[in-house]
Amino acid sequence: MTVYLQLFIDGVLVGSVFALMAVGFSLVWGVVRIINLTQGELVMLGGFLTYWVATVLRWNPFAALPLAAALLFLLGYGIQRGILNRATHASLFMTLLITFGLSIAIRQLGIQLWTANVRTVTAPFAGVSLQVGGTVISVVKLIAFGAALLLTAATWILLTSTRIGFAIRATAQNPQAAALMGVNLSSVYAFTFGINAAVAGAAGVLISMIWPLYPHMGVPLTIRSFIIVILGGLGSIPGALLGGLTLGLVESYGAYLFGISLQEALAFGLLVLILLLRPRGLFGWGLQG
Amino acid sequence: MTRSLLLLLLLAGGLLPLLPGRTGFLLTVTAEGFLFVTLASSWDLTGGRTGYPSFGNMTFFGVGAYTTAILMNRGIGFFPALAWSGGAALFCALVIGFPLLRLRGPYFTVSTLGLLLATREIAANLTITGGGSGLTTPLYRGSVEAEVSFYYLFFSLAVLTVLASAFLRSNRFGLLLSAIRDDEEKALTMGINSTAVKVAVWALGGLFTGLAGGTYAYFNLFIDPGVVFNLDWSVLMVLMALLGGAGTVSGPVLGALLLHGLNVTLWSYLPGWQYVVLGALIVVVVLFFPGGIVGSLSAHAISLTPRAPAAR
Repeated sequence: MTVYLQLFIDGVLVGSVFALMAVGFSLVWGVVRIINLTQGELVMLGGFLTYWVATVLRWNPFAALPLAAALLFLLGYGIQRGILNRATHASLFMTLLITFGLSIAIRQLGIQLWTANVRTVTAPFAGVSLQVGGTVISVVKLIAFGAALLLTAATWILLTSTRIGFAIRATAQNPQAAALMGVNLSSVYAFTFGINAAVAGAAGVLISMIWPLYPHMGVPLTIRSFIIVILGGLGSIPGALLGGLTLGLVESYGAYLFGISLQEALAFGLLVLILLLRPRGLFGWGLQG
Repeated sequence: MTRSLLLLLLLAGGLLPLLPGRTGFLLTVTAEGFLFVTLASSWDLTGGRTGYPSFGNMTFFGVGAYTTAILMNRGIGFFPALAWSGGAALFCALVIGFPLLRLRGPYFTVSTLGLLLATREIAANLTITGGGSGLTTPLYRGSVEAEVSFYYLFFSLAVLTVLASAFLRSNRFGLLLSAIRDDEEKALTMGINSTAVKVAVWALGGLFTGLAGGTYAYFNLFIDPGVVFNLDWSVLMVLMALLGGAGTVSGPVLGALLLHGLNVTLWSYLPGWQYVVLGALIVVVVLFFPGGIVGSLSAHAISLTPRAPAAR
């Protein structure tokens, strides 16, 4: 019984970080109408930034959080302004292809710059864990969980109670009407993608403390983000949170039942199943209704 | 015009090994070029013609490659093993096609990417596939004759695929594909069993891709999950079809040969950077040449980017 409780705790802790990674993915899909296949690479960049902060600057890896968020915001803003805004008229497949191209370029750039080696970040409290009722809770994962929830909440507040948040949500509901009300669509799109990149980078900082880093880590994370949004519903932040936790739990129990090495196959099976049985998502929420 | 270009390519491709002073490098590179012609043309059957662009076609390549490698390691000859490769890829495409091809638009495309990751992971974890360390195939004598044989194998496979693609332009089945691409709801209303049609053409592409994978396994002497379930190739073939002109017969052929040539040149002068260039090239092609080369030349090409009604 404790095994299942332990798996539940691990699933929820990791799932919260998955959720953070998917929040921006969902936002970009809902607002900019782009399925961003560079999502995993943005997370990867956040992770590598943490690696440098921890090993080169010898700072506390959590100090990488604001740094990664700021730098990736600029990168994301630039990608949308410089490239993706030129393709807003194109079909969804074409934007999929562009972001896939960008993901290949970023990944290969990563390999050229940092080699394909696996790196690890040693977080403070790395070996420390709490023992509660027979279960073991890693303190690093617990901190990552708290940070992920806080950042998800911060994104929610940004969207629901700031001026730019109103503009973003208005654009999601009806771009033409928003434009008529004086919303500058190009800059809203760029800002949305920037927020996504910042949040994904922050998720990368948290992931770097619980998983090893390597340039190829991105694509499976992108597919996870896609699955989470399918689970939770397009453009919905509470949906992304629930979807992330669900995927974390499925992977946790799946790894126990079928072995850790079949995680991607399991996630794919879940994806096809959900798409066929519940095409509107498990919870049927979404910004667009 | 494109037809005469294809005939010219057929002639040049058939005669290349007979040229005096041929070098092994040129022959091997051209053989790989024809491998990509097969991949891009097979992709285009579902991606361009039917409007179901996939990022997961390398799944069938991997299945084909592993089938040939496993059977040859058990003492079965190359051609019977290759036949089994085609069958295995066809079977996989049929089984996976029925659920996947019910999905529409981006849901289909991203799911095919998931399919590729999943099959690659499965191949990396089975014992029969040698796990992550891969498999070797029996050595052939590294001679000019072997080189020429592989060249003609890849060449015939490419010709076969392009012939099938050309045949599908004119007959009723090809029209069904266009109907599904242009308006699937209407096609359904007309009584077309669209899922069956989509699965059939996807399986045909899977067959050619699997045969290419089987040939590649013997040709390359070594396969592992990363090589044959190759993520970069799965998008490379898409770019080839788009660069040449998706939905046409000659587009994927031209795109594959051109892009492979570019890739080899980059590989020789800027090793490691070719995928950075590839990524940048994707962006340029999609933004500035969405109709591809053939699309810019003729009106036959379909555009994958219908202009949306003015957004603002």
